[in-house]
Amino acid sequence: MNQRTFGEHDDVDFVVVGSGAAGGVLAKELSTAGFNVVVLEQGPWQQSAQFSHDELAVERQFSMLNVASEVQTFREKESDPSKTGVARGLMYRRAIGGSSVHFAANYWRLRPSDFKECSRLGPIPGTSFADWPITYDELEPYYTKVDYEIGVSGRPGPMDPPRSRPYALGPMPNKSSGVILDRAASALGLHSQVAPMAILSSNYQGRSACQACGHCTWYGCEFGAKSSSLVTVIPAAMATGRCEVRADSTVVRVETNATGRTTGVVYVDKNGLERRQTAKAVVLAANGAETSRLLLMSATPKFPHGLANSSGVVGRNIMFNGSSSTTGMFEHPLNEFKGAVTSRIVLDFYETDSSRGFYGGGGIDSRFPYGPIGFAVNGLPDDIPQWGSEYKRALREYYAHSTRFVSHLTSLPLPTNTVTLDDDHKDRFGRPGLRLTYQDHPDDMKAKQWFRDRMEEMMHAAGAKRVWNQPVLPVDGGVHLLGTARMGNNPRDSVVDRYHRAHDVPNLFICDGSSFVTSGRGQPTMTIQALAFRAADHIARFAKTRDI
Amino acid sequence: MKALAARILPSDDGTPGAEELGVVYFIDRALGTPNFSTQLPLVRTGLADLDTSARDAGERSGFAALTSQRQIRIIQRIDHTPFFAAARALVVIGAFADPTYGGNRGGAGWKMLGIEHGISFSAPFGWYDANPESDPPKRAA
Repeated sequence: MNQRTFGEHDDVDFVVVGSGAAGGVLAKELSTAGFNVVVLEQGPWQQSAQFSHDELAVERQFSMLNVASEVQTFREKESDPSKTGVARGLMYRRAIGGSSVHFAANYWRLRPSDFKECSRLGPIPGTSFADWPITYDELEPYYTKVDYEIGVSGRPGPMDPPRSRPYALGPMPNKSSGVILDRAASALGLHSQVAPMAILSSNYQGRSACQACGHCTWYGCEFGAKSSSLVTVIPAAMATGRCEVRADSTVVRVETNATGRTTGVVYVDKNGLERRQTAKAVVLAANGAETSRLLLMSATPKFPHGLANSSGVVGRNIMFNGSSSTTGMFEHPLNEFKGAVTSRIVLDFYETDSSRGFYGGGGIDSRFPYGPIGFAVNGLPDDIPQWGSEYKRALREYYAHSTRFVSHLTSLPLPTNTVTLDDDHKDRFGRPGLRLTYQDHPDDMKAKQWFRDRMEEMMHAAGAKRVWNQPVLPVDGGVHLLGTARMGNNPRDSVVDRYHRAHDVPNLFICDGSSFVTSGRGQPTMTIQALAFRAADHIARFAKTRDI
Repeated sequence: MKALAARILPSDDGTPGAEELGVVYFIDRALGTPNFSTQLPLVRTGLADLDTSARDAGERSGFAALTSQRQIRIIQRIDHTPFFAAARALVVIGAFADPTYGGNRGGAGWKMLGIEHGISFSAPFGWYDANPESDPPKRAA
């Protein structure tokens, strides 16, 4: 696509750092509102035609675009030594469209209760548990905007928050794994409902409906049916004629002047040359890990602890959403290698229930998260031989006949769970590495265990021939990167205000997973995009009234 | 390697095993690529050790010449070693990776798992969504 281009000192209104779920929306909305926008993305352009079903290549590509190319370290607490080579780490895609390119596309909304949980339940000692500075009602129009702007498929269910319009598209077809969850729910008096997905159940706005190829998570969609930023808001932003999307451009610093305002950013281009993009305002949407790194790396004598960090909470309170799972094998084939990741969810245990003895709740879906290689390497129950005739017989018996119930849970915000700079491990641009310090709150571990026990009961109730649990493990990273530059009304304990403006820098806006105050129950991307649509409305209003 | 691969994924059940899937062709190529070449020394040493074990057991021509039962007994003694983990992963990847990598001939590995290969499917996908009203079997108490 031909696009408008801008020079270093051209009259650019906004530079947006990041082209993913949030950055794409902000670029589209601000350019549509009449502003000149430059988007800087550290990864490359990849087009839909480049995506494939090659499990081996996708594993490699993912490690290439992510953790392996990045210097990351991990420790459980500040007093521990930092380790390299952790299993998970901070996982995200470096490419146009960001992680929305390869996500599973689960598009749950938060509920009204998520925004005011602290008021309802009371504070939790040792945590940063707090209310959001906004309500569900304020965000609802923007959830609906996401539904229609990018194309979300679904059907309202009994446990849904209120919505002002039906889904943009009807539900995706129910899969066998969904029927299994339906059976479990009905046997136990629970309610299964259609999983909302950012995947097209029918043709929409010139894009093709899902072909049920079965390759969503970690894969880009060759058909453009997955509603990633790559095929929705990014092309829409470029089509305004006011937005340049610059790939292979790694931002290393947000610049500020003597008056404490930002003047633009410094980035390294694909040839390794340091360049500058000036702009009237900067919008960070680089994800909960990269946004906090960038703020911390942009310290100056005026901002000694990092930009926009007078509160000291930049990089703190990282949340990933806990998870646990149990797997069942059934008499007949389910063929989970077809279709979207999941088609049904159970939200009966969403709210915190003090009778369970811990803070937290979540949702449950049914999915089979294995390609053939992954399953053959480590998908079978532990008590089955891992080689030989028995192994091969089990592979044939289990692969097409199995599904997993997976919980998507709360994580409490802890000030001691952080993303910080690791000066001992620099990346190829000379940037300090990302150091994750993380230890689950005891309630998060209890929630995982409690949900696994429920799911085990459910799997039996669904009639599984064989049920096997996955161990309940502590978190050492993940794909949801939440809470590291939280919203709030008080500049002493939050980074941005209710409009995503940095408390400390009037022309710096931050909107992505880092804005979250609490974790929700998994599936944060819908909320990230609703926040971005809402933020863009307010940022455009400020710009038009010269209030930036 | 061929003999070891055939014990990991045998062909004794009438469906293709490592032998028919051409797993060793995948492994030959893979070990020459940057992604797998770091495992080459481990694999070489491990295979040599298998031959040594075979000779210790009285088979002068090495591991491949043993009967499958005797091969299995030797593998049982080493199936928790890093070498075996690496060899098993290579065999499995060779059996189920895209056939363009040299193994999984004709996609027969996928077929063995019950996977239909296609770029587009339509519902119903499996037995349960084709029979959504059927009752779950009663479980014994």
